[in-house]
Amino acid sequence: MNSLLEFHSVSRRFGRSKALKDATFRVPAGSITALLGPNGAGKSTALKIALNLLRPSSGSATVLGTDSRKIGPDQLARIGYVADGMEMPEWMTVERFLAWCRPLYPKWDRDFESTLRKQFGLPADRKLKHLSRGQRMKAALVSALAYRPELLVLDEPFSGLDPLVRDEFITGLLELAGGEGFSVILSSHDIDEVDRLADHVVMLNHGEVIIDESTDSLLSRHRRVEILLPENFGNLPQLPATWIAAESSGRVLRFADTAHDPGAFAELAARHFPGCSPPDVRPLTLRELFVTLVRTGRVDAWT
Amino acid sequence: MNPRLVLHLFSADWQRLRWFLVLAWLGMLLAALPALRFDAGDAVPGSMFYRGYSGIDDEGEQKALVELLGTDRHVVRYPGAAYAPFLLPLLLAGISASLGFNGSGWARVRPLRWQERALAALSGLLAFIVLPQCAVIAANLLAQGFNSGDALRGAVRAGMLLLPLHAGSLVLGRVCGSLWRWFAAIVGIAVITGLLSILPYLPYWWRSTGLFSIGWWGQIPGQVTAVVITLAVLVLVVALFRGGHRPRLRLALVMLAVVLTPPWARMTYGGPGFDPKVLRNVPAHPQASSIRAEYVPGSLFFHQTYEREKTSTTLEAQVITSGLPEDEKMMWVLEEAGPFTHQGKMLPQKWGWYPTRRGRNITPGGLPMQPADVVPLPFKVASGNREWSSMTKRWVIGEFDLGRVSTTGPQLDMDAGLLGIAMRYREVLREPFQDKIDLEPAGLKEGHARVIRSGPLAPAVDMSYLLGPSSHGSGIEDDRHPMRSFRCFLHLGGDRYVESRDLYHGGHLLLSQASAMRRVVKFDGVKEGDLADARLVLVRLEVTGSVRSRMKAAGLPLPPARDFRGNRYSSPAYLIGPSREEWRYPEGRPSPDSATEDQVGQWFMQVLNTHDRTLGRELAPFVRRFPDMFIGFKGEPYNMEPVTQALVHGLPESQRQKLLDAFAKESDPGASPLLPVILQRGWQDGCRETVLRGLRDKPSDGLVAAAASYGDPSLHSDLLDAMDRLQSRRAYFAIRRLPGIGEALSRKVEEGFARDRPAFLAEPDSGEQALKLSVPAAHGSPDAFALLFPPSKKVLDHGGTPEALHILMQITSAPPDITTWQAWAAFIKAREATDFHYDAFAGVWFPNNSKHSKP
Repeated sequence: MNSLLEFHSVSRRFGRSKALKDATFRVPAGSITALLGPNGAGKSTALKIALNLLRPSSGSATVLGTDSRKIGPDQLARIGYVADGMEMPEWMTVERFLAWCRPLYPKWDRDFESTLRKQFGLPADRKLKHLSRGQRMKAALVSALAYRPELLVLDEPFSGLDPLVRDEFITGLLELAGGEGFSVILSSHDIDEVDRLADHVVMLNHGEVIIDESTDSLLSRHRRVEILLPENFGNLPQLPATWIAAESSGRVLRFADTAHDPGAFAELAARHFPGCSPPDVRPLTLRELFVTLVRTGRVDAWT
Repeated sequence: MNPRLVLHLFSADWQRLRWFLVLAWLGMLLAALPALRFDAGDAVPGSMFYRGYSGIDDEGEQKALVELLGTDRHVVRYPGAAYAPFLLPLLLAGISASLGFNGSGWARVRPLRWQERALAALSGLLAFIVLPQCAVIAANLLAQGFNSGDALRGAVRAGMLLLPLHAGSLVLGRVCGSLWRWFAAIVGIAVITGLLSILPYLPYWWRSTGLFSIGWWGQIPGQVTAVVITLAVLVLVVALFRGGHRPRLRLALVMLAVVLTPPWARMTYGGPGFDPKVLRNVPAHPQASSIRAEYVPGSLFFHQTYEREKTSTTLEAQVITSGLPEDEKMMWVLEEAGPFTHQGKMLPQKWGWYPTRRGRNITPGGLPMQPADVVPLPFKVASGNREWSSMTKRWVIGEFDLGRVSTTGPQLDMDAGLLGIAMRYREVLREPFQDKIDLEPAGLKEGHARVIRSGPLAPAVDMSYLLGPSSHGSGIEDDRHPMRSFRCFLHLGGDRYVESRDLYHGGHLLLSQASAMRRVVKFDGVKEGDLADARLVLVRLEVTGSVRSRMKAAGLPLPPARDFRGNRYSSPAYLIGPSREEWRYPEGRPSPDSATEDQVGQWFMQVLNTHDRTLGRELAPFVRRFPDMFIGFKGEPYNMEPVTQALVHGLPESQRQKLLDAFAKESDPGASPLLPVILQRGWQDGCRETVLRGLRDKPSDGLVAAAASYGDPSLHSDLLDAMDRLQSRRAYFAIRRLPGIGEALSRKVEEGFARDRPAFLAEPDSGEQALKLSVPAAHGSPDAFALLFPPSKKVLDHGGTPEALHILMQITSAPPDITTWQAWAAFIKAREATDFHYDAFAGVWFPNNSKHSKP
């Protein structure tokens, strides 16, 4: 699959602290990629490097096939960018703001803009400074979507939005991504927000990439396992390294299988737990997966 | 680049800033009103007497002048209005900055080229800020009667100044990215600018404090220091702005450029002072010849502060020109810095006038009080005749800091490029002395003069006029430039010309870049009755050409060690070039036996203008044939010594009565230059009445000496009164040996001391009060002598020596090994009054023998 955004061993220093450490990941074309991680993991830094708002200290990032340090108007006309708390011309009305944006984009679609404005319910004659935070984000999103960008970059887009607005936003984003074929990369520290959106996950911790994998692949190789041990089972055997986060409660043993293969698992389970009834195996949600990773210390705890 | 996008961005800026722009434009119009409505009386100064002539001692004159000038009514009534002139530039600068930081955040990810943004911002800057100001300026100039060429020049000149300044603000706005950061940066830059502006004075200030010696500091050019400090502060500012991020070199360089833009603009486009290019580009004079320079070891202005005398040396230029028309004279400036070197190191210049760098004004006290950037008018020599073509022939063109240069061994090398500007005065106005005089014929735009014929100032003239933007330099200071300034005379008929004294000279810069000037001048000694046929005459300098010369010399001596009681006039001067005898005599010296009166008169003035006190003997041969020229000459006191000496040595006995007759006509015989001639020739008996009149009206040391020489006991009372009024040791010594006066003298001295003692005790450090003790101390009063000791042991704040120490030096006999002021001060500091005894015969205090071994 083609990648619209690729990071190759990118590091970024701020003084003595390193916001990104040798980060390598990609955003596949047509995907909704979630850039996850706790606060300070380096998500926003990575996105700013992608848009040349920051320059990498080392390594390189490629956006739409161009080195991020060299992207210009041609590339920016194909990218939409919305960030939490981004500066906006607050003295403009929504209408004026969109009117200001229109001439900049040859592919600006007035009909699509109207559709979006109706969908988001934006008041045309109100100044941006008089809009709520959610409405401002919607206005920003309209200004970033109306020209049908190939890559939509969203930096913490749900931050500060109330649940209802957030749901609307997510629903709208899903519809648009499905209907328009945008590639989206969005950063968030809230797993629930992106759970139903992301089809690719990049996870950062302390500036390092922990996971760079499609959601399907990630979830399909992780399983939650629960085994009821017999009364005279004795001591627990040494478990394989791919079984992590083991814990027992009475006669019940729970762990996560991080390299799940049904056939191989059945054989391993029979070998390690002879005489036991078949284990209860079920898929993990993203949230459960990250909680498991936090417990094993592979990722810092966050919301 | 897409022009439609540029227009699009430009339009967006207009939408965003339109209300601020309307406000700014209204402010511009409002600020332009005074220029549009300029009238006599509007040119009221912001700070009274700031540029006024300092010689206004008369309280009545001061009061009348304040009343005449008044105060700014608007500022008084609405205090806030005083700040309005500062708010408009700030608003304009804020708008410029806003053009810079607009969109720096939210538009960065939009598909715009930097060229499009830059062009849009620059277009906004021109259309919103610069052109409107230029238009207002041009409109004002047209309204004030300047022609379209002047208006266009003024507008272009203003635009060339405004564009870089506002572009700097725009760039600063772009770097800062937000209004508050920009404002913080403005404050920071103001602080840095303030620091830089006082930087040139720090070495002098530090030296004056005596805290420590900073010889190395003076070796560093001021610009280097300024840049280093600026860079350091900018790096700090940038580091703070970036929230702990590493300062970026590029950002620092941009900030540096922004900081340096205003001073660059000021230096490039004028500012206070004159435009160096004006002088440098003066074409060569077709007739002027070379010049010769005179090197005078020691300082010109520090001769009163003996401790400092060896820290500086002076370069003077003695001008010799041949073929120069009679009415043309030269002004001399140093073309480049660093004419003196010592072992390869340049001597820093303490002050000077030269086109490439701005000079500083040094007050006789020693500290630079303010950057003057002023080329003074030539010295005036008042002769009561039409003498305004006369200018000095000697220019002090620089004083150089010797710093820590060794005072032994050789010495200094000199390589000086000198530029001489030939100028002459031209009469530009001659109008009857009526109530109102139109000054426009003199080239003064909107120029009007109001004649004041009654009150303390009378007769005086209150003049108002505009200086146009095409003047050299810019603004108010132009009027101080010799080439822009004019001199005022009152022609009273015949050969009677009286030159004016400036009571006030100042003004303010109008928005139009024209300067509204106000000048009030007074004609001293002119009575109402003299004004019947009087005419106001204005003369102005015009440049006729230039001449350049290069002076080189090696191994020049340092200031010599000399008698610490002497003064600079006893120090030798070292000629760079031909022999002293050769340059002393101006070319074309006429023959004493055959020259015409005109020839002698011109040569007489040329010799006087050298200010050389020893030239009296050279003039003496001319006195015999033209006694009236010398006897009737009236000049500045510093010019009279050669005239007196010429009369002493050259006036024949046959002309004695002529001199005595002239002396009898003196209104103030005590100040007459003829009195020393009478005393030295022993002609006192022929002018007894005049001497006694002066002695009783306005005594002087000379009159006391003359009256004492009569030996008449009936005059004792007058002599004692005169001595008491003068408080002068010279008068005291002139009469103390008169037979029979001793008892009365002691009584008079004691009465005076009893009267003056409380005043001295109230101000023991006052030099004026100390002088009052000099007579009783010289007369042997132990109390008066003792009172002089405490103040003598103090070093004055400005580093000088107290007057009391000078008095002690005059009335005390010092051991022979004391030859310097430092040794003398240490000698006194180690002693008390009781360590001396008074010798009544010699009238001197001697140290007691037992203490002679002290330092």
